[in-house]
Amino acid sequence: MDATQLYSSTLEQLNQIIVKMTSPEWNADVQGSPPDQRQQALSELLRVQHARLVLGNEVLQDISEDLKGNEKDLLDGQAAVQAALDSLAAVQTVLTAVSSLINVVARIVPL
Amino acid sequence: MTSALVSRVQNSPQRYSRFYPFHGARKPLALLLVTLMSGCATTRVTQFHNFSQAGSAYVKASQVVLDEAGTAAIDADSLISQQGRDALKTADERRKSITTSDEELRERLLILREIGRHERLLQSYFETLGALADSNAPSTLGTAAEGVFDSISKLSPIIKNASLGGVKIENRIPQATSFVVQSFKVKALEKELKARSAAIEREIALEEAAFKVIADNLQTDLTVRLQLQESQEVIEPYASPDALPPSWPQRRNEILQATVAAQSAQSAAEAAGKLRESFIALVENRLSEPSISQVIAAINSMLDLVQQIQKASPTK
Repeated sequence: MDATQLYSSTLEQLNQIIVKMTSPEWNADVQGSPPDQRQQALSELLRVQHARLVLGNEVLQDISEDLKGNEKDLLDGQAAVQAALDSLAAVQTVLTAVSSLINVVARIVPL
Repeated sequence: MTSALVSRVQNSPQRYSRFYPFHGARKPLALLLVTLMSGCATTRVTQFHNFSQAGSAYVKASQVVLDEAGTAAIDADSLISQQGRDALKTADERRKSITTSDEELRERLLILREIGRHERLLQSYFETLGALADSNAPSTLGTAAEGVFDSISKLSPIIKNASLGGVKIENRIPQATSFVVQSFKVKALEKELKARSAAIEREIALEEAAFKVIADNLQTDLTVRLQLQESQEVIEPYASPDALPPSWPQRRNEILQATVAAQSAQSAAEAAGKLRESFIALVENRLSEPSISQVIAAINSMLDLVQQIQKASPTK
């Protein structure tokens, strides 16, 4: 996958995550979770929002090498998030997958 | 179709005066449609005049969409920042979080502002073209058109190279359409069109591309904002044992209506596309009432979108 596709698929995934993590259904699931999980959900929500803002404003050519250097982890991270979202996985499973993906994004842009 | 649009604007004054920006944007639309229906749409001057008015109406409406795109991005981020604030333990963490968001949003707003400037310059060009179509037009108008075009062409590389939400605007520019400039009685007009109409078509195509990218971002930001509002203003008050506020049914209605409207965020790009088609038809001396009506219909869709989303704006 070239850097352009990698860039747009990552941003698309971040947009999907933010839509999921602000949905009333997600909110209801988080409300019913233990306090530490609720806290983690809020923290990941902020990280996802920053990631999509910062990555979205980047000039592709400035980060293309870093994108390619992290290609495998980015694609694995996106696949894990998608699988968690598609299978309506539990809050913790989604948060773990999201957190891993954001950690990879943080290697490419400062978050 | 045209008469239906006229009656839509004229029979709903209350609806269209609810918001100031709407009121301002709808008025020229109504005037333009009346002009179209007066039976003089086939003359050269009228064609250029109608196109110039459609262009102005498009610019006014799309400026509102640009404002709304900026507002939706800020509102979505504000709601997320408010909600996520509890997860930030120290003042430094909170400061860094909001500063990062502000910085990134500011960058996005700057791009939106440049797109707005580009549009207003295009509007000036269309107005100059409208004036050039008059056989009594002063000879200096050709120079004026050239000057406006120079300003447009200085701005367009900035917009082409800009990215919004990770999408480079240049990558969404539609392919160039080939067209032939027809002969016009007013030679200054013909000269101007032969010199610059192909480049102007590309500038309108750039607008179309910019609005495609803006619409993608607007749709996500609006969805995020409306979902958070639905949770905070509709679902949680209802779930709570406390009495519901009297405004609850109204807010619920506004938020749900806006959620549906958000799905038609591409209407601004469609309006730019219709304007570009009309410009080509104008240059080829075949601009008809139905073409202009299509532009107006697309502009109305843009305005409807903004009206719905403004109604659901977060409660202040």
